[in-house]
Amino acid sequence: MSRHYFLLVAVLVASIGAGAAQARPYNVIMKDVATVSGALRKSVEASDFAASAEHAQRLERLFRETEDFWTKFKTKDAIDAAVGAKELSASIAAAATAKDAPKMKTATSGLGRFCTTCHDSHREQMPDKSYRIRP
Amino acid sequence: MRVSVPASIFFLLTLFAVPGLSEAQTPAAQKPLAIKPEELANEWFIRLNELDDWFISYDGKEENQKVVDRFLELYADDAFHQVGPSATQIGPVIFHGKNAIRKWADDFSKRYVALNYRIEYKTRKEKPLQPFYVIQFPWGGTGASTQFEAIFTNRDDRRQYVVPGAVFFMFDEAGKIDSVRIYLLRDETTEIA
Repeated sequence: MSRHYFLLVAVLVASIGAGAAQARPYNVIMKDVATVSGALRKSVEASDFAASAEHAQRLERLFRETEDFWTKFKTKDAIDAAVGAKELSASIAAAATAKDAPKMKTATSGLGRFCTTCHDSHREQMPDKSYRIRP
Repeated sequence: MRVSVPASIFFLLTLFAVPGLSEAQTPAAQKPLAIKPEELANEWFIRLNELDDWFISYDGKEENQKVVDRFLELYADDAFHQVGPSATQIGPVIFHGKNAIRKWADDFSKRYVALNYRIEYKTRKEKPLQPFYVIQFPWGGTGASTQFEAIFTNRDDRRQYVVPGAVFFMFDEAGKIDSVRIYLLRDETTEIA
């Protein structure tokens, strides 16, 4: 009986946790991506390995959120872009941790293409300069 | 004996007698149509193509209801909407009534992007035209049909296709769609690289 009760509570806590993880609005995620990407570029240019590793790890988490957003819509090009950006962020973090400056710089310069691919298909600017998400 | 008619009398006869004769011989069904079926059919293409014109909200909601509502405005409450079977169906697929047609429009709207169903051009003597074949039904209401090219992109895998097709409309006297039958020649589907 108590075992069942424990399992039920665990499932409830996990569901609430998962729900909370998905609750961040997409525009907030994208604004964070823009801010952290800018910070990453600066730290990479300055060869600040510690800061670069931290920023790249944060980007990896942000692109995981981006991937989660698009996964429920099964939109292949957006999912592929998010996964590509997430994996590249992980490799930037690894290069920064290994203090491999050339690899870190090369990988960072390739990050923008994933953003462009997705924005071309799924971002539309409104007359008031705000952005909306295309399916 | 030859009778000559003065030119002025001939002119007057032409002016009054001929239009009267013409009107008397014109059946009611041949009168100019108040609501042009080709314009109704054209509007259907416009609103069909608008079914991809919606956004996803920042919290992940698919906000396509407005375009689906606009599409449904063209249908009578008791309308029939017939399409070919999907990959998982066999036989005719008929949607009857606005709720059923709403389901079709909602699915269609969420399944495809970059919708471009365009009426096929016919050109003769350097004169291009998108022809609609129209009819006035003797029981009231009108009909229209045309050939088209369905160009669309799958929303999920982003693959783009072109498929030839034809559509047949029956409109009621209020200009609402009473029934529509859409044919797509799936055997002639071409993927656009």
